[in-house]
Amino acid sequence: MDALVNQYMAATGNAAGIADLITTDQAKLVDLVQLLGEYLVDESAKTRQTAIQCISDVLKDLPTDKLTKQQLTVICEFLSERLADEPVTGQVLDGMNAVVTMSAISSLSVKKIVDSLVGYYLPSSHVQVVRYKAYVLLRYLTENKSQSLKSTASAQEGFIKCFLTCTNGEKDPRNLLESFAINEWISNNLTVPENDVEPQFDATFCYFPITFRPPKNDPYKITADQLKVALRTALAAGKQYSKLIFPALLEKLTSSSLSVKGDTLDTIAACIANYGPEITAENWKDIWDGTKFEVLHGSEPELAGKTLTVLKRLAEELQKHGDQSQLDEYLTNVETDCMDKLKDPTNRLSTQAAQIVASVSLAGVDVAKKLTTPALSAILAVTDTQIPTLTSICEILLIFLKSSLPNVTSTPLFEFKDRVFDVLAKALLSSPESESSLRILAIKGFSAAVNITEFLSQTDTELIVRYLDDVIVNDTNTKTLQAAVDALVLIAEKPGNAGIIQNITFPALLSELPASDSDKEAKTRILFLLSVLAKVSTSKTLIEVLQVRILSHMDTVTGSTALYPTLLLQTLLSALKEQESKDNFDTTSYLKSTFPRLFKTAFDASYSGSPAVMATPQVTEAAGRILTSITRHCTVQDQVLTSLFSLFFNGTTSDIFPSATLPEKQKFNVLDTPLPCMSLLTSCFAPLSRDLELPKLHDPFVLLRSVISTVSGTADPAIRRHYLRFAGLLTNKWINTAASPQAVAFVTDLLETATLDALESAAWIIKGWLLKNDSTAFKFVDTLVGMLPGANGLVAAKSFDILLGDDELFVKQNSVVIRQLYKQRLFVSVVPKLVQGYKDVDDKVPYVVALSNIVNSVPSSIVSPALESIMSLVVDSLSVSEARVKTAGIDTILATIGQTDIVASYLDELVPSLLDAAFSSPAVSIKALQCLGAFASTVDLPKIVPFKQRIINSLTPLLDHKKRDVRRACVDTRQAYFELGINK
Amino acid sequence: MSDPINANPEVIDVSALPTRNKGQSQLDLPLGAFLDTHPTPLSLIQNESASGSDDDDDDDEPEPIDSQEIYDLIATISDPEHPLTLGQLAVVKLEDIWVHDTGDKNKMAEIVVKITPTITHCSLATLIGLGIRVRLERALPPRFRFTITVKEGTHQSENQVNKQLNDKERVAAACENEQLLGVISGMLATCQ
Repeated sequence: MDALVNQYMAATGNAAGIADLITTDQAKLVDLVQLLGEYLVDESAKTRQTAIQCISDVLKDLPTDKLTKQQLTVICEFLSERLADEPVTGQVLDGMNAVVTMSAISSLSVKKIVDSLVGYYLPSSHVQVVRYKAYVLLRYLTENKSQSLKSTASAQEGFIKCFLTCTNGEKDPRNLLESFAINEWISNNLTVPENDVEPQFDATFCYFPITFRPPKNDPYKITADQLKVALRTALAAGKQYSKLIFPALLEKLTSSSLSVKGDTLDTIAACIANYGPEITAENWKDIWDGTKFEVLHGSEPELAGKTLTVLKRLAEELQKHGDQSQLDEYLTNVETDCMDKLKDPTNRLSTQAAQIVASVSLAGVDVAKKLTTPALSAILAVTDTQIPTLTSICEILLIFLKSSLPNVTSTPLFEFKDRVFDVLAKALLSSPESESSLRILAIKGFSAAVNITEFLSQTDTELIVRYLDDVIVNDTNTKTLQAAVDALVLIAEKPGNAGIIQNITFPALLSELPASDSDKEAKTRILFLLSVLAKVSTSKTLIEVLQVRILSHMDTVTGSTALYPTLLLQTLLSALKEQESKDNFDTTSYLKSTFPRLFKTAFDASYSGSPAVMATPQVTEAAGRILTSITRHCTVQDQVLTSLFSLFFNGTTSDIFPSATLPEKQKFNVLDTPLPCMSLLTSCFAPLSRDLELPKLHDPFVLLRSVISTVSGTADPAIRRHYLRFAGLLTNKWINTAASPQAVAFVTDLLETATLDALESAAWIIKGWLLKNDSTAFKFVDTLVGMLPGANGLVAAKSFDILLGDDELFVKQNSVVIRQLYKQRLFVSVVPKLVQGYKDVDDKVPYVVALSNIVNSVPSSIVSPALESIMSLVVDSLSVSEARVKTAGIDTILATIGQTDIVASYLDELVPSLLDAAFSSPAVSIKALQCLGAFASTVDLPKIVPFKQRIINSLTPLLDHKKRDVRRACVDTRQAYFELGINK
Repeated sequence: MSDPINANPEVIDVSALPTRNKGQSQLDLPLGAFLDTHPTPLSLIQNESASGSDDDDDDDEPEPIDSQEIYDLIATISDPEHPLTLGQLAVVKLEDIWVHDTGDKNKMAEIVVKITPTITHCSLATLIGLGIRVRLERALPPRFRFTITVKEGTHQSENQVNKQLNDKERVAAACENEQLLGVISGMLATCQ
């Protein structure tokens, strides 16, 4: 023990050894104190600190049940005395913190500690860390020794004094959080003597309002909000403050700072709720008088909202009071202040008055009866029907409709339902279209009414829906239309309303659809009406009905352009997409309602060529998307797969594809001749899970070979695309290069054949593998690079677009395998070869085209680092006649501009090329102009200024371009150069 | 700058200003998105035939310069003393712009703009007029001529201002004043 103590003193070693000796009764705590004796009175504060620290550390390491009550009394006495020695306070507090955790500690000892703090502890002479220890000690006592603290009046008083001592002059945020918490505990658990109320209040309220801004490197990460809430809770806990706090808080409302006012109002609201009815009864008058102006005359909606909460709280608390006269008096006050203003809706304070009445009424049905009933009677009694009056009335009604007691079906509002409804209907129906703000208010009023539980009857809702349909069909004001659409969607989303939408809105809108899309106006109309239909189809049931309606409408638009049927299908698709984001979207039931119908239309068009419009690529595409979406989310993909294969490869019908879908008297096999209806197969096939097994009859490779051989029979790009996408999907999901050498050999042959047809086919097959990051695919890519200088160079170059371009069927949602890094891998391996090859050949176009195709589909983060090496190819791409190549070149520059300064060193070549490009097709022209414009803001001034006048002058003719967008882009670019180098 | 001449002008909400896309097409329509995106399908054969040709046929229609286009050019100019645009302050109004243009690129054309100062003694009317003139000269082909006047009855010294705004010599002189150009440059900075 001796040795251990000396060791500790010499090196501030660990106390565990000493604690061990005491725990195992080989030594006594008293011995330790004696051994330390002379150190404890040493002249050096440092030595005394170490000595006390030793005792504190030992105490911390002892088991909490080791020391007896007697021993604890002694040690507490010892520590309390030591507290007088200021330099060792920190160490003593550590010791105290350890002692209070001992199980045998007596109330007397606790009191000893508490009293010694009052007597000796002086927080202002200690640093934040030491003060924190005192708070931890008090906090521990409140949490674990509350019985001792509460035991007698003098113990209570002692602890309050102790707290006041400890928190005196505190400024540190972490300590304040502790201080507020202890204060809150005191208010909730102790009886604060009269004399201490004011000091305790001052010790808390002096921090209000908190304007703390956390320092940048605050290790404790304490926010102003934490402090605000803690202080608010502490204040709200102190019922005893009520006489002091309300005057003090109301005075703070004179502040000009919004956040102070907001904090004040929040605190008032919290205090009212916590202090209870009695105290509220004593103070409501002052609060009402002191806060109402924030609503009536304030300009900040946020503060008004907080004030309304305060006013509502007052009513809530007063309701609980035994004596209802206080509540009555309060409500009379509210009435006196508000009713005059409400009776005259044109009064400029009428809506504010309505807000107060409506908010206070939220306190309960009884209050509402006393306030809302007369208010609504007054407002509905107004007979003036001029627009401004009607607008104010609607505004006021909207306030009441929006603040209806949730889930209460007997509020006064219910009694006035019919009259409110009439006013809103009148506002909507009899005001001219130009009064959009009034009409919108009415629509919002209806929406608010829809939101109130059990407020509207079925008939009411039906009427509203009719009104809204009418607005949608006849109005032209954008904002009114938007409000009507939103309201309709809201109604459609409420459970039980699907039937109303289905029976009223669907026919109303469908019957308004123009017969054909001949002129621009009709197109806009179709687009609008169908959009609304898509938006209101918010549930499974509604989509089911929408399908039937839309598909039967398809038959009536056969004489139209492709746009009309496309839009019809897109409507359905849009509604489906909206549902896709929701969980458990199950489309199985749509299979039977949609598939046969879409298939029949497509088959008929495919075979008989009529109606021709149904076989156009746009329509086929749209139909395909619907099929894909439905197949993706149905639960019977295996059945779909089997049925598809039997139908398309054998002409056999099934449950999903009943015989009625088939074209009459046709021998049907898509592998016999290339047919446009292959799109149906590909669309349904695309989303099928790759875990499914293909039907036994069809070996994947054999299937692939027949598909490719069928496709060689047509040059129609649309039809080819359906077959080739199918091939790509097949190789991606079901053919592995390692397991199918025949497939690899097949592709090798195709590449050797090197016709346009063969190369296109090969590209799609390779695409399927490339997405999987398959090494064989990269070998084939090298073969394609090798073909660039040859006779088929340009075709090979273009095939890179197929390899890397995005296709909406090749996505993860369709169970396609896509490895993240395949684009990067291709870029890194192919681009250096392109740069190298480009230098050695005469015909550079294939290289430029290949590069532009690659750059087009690869993220700019991959391209930028390599920009320097490919820059000369990019510059050349601007002079290739093909628009796509030009665009790709410009896009490369635009994507990397600002990230590197390489562009600046090529300005001599780039500026003339871009000026040339600005005079090609509108799309390219706009890109080139944007690119030139971007130079003005990204290239270093001295480098770009020499081009200023040339660019401005060369672009002048474009100001007279026939396309508006080109003119606009030209104006913007020229403006950027006019401003270049001008000091503002 | 000294105290603003009109410290509290009336301001029009941006969404209420006239634009080319009125009515239904401005709504949040789910189908609108589909129309804009028609990705070029991946295909070699398609590329062969489609190369070089422009999009749809009806896109070939010429779009003449109209008053809305002029409005779009000048309504976004900033007021010299407020952080607001001339459109928001209703200094420039769509109905006070006239375009006389045959569409023939070899014939002269004229644009008339009448501005409405926010208050009748606005001494900045000439500066605003000059800003508009500079903007139009930069943004329109050289065959266009501009007449910029204050609207009848909206300014105390209407004739003086009109004379100053359309006097070639004085405009040219003003455009050589570096400081003036700097101010105008600031006004035009918000044009998008």
